[in-house]
Amino acid sequence: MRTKHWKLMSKGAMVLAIATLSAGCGAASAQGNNSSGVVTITLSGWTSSPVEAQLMTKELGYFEKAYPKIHVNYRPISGNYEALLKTRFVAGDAPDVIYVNNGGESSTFIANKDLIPLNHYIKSSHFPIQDFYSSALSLFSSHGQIYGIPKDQSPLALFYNKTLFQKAGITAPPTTWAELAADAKALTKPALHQYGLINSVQEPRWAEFLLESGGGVMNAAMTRMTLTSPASLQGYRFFVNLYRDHYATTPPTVGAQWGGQAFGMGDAGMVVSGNWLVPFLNQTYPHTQFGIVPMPKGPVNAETLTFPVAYGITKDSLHPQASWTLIRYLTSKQGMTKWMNLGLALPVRPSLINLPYYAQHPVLQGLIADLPQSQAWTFPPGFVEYVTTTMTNQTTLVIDGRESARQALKVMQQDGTQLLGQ
Amino acid sequence: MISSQPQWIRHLIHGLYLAILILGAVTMFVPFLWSLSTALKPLSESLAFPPRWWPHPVDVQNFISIWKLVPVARWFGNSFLVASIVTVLNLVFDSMAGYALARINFPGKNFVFIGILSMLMVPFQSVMLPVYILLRALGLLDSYAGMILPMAVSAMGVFLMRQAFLTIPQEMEDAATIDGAGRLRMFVQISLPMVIPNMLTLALMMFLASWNNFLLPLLVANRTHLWTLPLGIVMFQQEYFVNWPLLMAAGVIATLPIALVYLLFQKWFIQGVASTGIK
Amino acid sequence: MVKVVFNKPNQGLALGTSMTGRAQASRNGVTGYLFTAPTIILLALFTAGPAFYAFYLSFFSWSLLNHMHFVGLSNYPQLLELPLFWIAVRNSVVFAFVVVPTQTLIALGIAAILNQKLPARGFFRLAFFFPAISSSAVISIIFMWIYNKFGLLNSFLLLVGIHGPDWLSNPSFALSAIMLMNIWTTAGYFTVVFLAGLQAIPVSLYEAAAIDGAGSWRMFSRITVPLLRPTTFFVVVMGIIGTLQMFDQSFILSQGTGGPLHSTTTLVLLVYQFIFSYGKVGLGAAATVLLFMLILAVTLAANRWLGQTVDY
Repeated sequence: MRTKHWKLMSKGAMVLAIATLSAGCGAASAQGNNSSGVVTITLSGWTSSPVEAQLMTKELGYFEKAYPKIHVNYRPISGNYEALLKTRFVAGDAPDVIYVNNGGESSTFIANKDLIPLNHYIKSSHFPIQDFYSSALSLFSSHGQIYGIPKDQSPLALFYNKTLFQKAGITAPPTTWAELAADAKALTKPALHQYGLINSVQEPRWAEFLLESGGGVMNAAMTRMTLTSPASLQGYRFFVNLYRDHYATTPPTVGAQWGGQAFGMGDAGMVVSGNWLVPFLNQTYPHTQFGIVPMPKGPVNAETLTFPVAYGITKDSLHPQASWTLIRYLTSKQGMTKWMNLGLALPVRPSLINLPYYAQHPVLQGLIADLPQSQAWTFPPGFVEYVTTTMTNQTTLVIDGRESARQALKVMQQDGTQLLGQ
Repeated sequence: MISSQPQWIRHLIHGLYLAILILGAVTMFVPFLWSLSTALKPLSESLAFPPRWWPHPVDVQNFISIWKLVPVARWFGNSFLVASIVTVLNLVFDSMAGYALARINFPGKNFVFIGILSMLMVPFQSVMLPVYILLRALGLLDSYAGMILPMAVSAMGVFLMRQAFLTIPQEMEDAATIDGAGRLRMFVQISLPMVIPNMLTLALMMFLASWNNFLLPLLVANRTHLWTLPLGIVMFQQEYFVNWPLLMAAGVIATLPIALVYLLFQKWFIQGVASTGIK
Repeated sequence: MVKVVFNKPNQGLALGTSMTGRAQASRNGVTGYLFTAPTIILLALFTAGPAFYAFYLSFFSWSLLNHMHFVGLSNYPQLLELPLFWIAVRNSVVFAFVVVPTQTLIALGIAAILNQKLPARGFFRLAFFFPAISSSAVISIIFMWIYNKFGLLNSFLLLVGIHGPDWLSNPSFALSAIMLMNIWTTAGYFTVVFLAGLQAIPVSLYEAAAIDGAGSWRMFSRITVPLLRPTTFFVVVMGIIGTLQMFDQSFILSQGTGGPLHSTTTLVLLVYQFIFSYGKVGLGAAATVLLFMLILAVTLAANRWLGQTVDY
């Protein structure tokens, strides 16, 4: 009885929610159409700094000048973006255009049909989709349909502390695994809280090494776990052995919250990180002398992980055409150039890697050089919990010496396979 | 305490008690003092180990940076506005309900009372999602009302006021009843004035609860100009979460107004907190 | 608290004498509900309703983004089979069972001392209560800094020759660190509650006992503790509810992960993760229902042990 009653109530609430939403939007567009034909769309994403939000606001100002019939409501979501964005969807209040993240978010949104396919818009507006890195584009595509236009990306590369390298008598940053291990050893001085490499043991940091030994977490089609293959084991072992030999450690060991901070504090000779570390170092630890090089080459290749982000149009959008106009504007060469000049992320269009900005900021060349051999970081839907808990926990046990590398991979393989079966 | 112990033993025991109290008081203040000390240091000096207590030179740059980076004054104003309205609404609603539960013998009273008290057991995190859907349906997202309404009554506050009204002598009201005074008049003119200390306590508790709340504003307020101070600080923490001096300065800014209110009204705080537990 | 309901004399009864019983009762009914209406409506809307909705959601499989589908009771057995759920239950229960007695004893002890004729009592009361007024978010950030590997706590430990661990990233210490912080925050609050309870005990009882030749400890254990039982009940129940619902502190100190190795994953944090991060709304809702039942059961148990009235 009670359940039924509440079911009705909740349905009522939902209907009310939807009704309010449509009424709200209807009012907005009706009002717009009646007077001047202006439509209002909402854009939501996260911001990594106030500067980023300011630039976006400025950009949207230019956009509205160029397209006076479209008004953009910019509503960045702070805090836990994914969680809050999902609540917006539940309430029927999803923004028209959203940032779509990597690492299992894109696949989840696509699988749940929360984004609309853009092929039709791409075609009709002759959008130069061929001028995008296929690794980034593939993350937002499924069965030939494109659900998001990549806006930027950040590949993983190796940051090294020039001062510490000099002190340890190392003349050049490592280019192979052997050099990486040797340099890490030479840079480690536990008495000074100094370690060769300081990184947390979250999945992308070690998955990186699996790729370079020719293995990987999953096959390309993401239908099968490949963690127990000999190649994967080789890459995983290389990573965990750096920790077991104490040439690498986790950030809290030196009193840091994350690897980038440990690096800024001068406690890490090297850190595997992305573009986001550069503005952080410039702002918070401006005295750290650092260089960036592509990931040292593994036994098989020098592939690296990259983290692309895209703009997508949500299924609830009442103005997909206007939304597309906005996306096209923001991802045009011109729009992207301004974005790239912030230095927060790297281009997703190969034609942009020669921007004057990169000549002025040569330190970024190490990251740019990684782009051609980069693979987007992603998972099938429903993997977030597994990646953030099982994978991190197993690796923590291994570096603490409480479990063997082989055993950890076996557990991850089993759990992952079970998830894929569901 | 009256006791037959010799004088010197009593002195010794009192000395011991004082030592415990001093140690305890120091323990209570150390984290705050440490955050103030850190806030007054540049980043490089803050990481010294073993730490230095006295910053030299005293550096107020962190406070200036925060003032420039984020709209602290605006957040402060939002917090104040939301907390004030929440306080007023609780004063009205909680005392009315508390009065009815203490003074009016209506059918289903015990059921209503248990129902209200059981609300204390529902953690907000577990009802966040439905609350969000509801606020959306009511059109209250991104509004002050959305941050106020869910906090406009408090089960704890009703409980507190009920306890307060129970202590008023019944004869006062009996006399008024014979005069033919209506319930509302009786409530406003006779009973309320007698629980003014409890009302002040309730006011302070609700002000604090609202001022310190961050999950509800997080859910409701999308736009930075609607953020409250604690929400702003937590957001700030996520952006600058490794710059300890800057973070501690933000913490100091968030704590100072509350500390001031506490020092000014400490009597009512203590009295009120005390009154929740006696019955 | 539940106890309170049953022990109260019916204060409104005296009014019945001036009118006929029925008319008075119906008028009281209308007035009673008019006075409580705003409270009932707002609590129903923002607490009870959502709580029932959470109960309803526990019968569904839903990721927030896909279509809900009814799965009957199956979320419950699924939840009970999850090792992570039991880890969270263990963490929450251990947390409550360490924090509640510790903070109650500390609060009682300090309150008993503060009740003596000592100098600067007002100041000490002020000091002990101070942490209770600060926001848990801000306090968590401050303690994150204190618990740093090279933070204040370890520098104190170094004075006595102990090289402290990195508290929050060590699975053996992380939960203890949060317990310590929690006790620090709430002990002072309950001290003030106890102090009021102490002051309500008639001095004559102590005087009589002193004449009988009772010592301090005897008076404390024979008079103070039994007479404080209602206060203790309140402190324990509020403590249980507060600790079993602990979220902010775990969330901020573990940066939302409940780690390391799930050592700080409390039930409420797990609920939050299930619903908002892992797309398992039904499981999160089922965990909410079980959490509510756990709190209710522990509260009733406390009522049984501590809730009886004491007559002297």
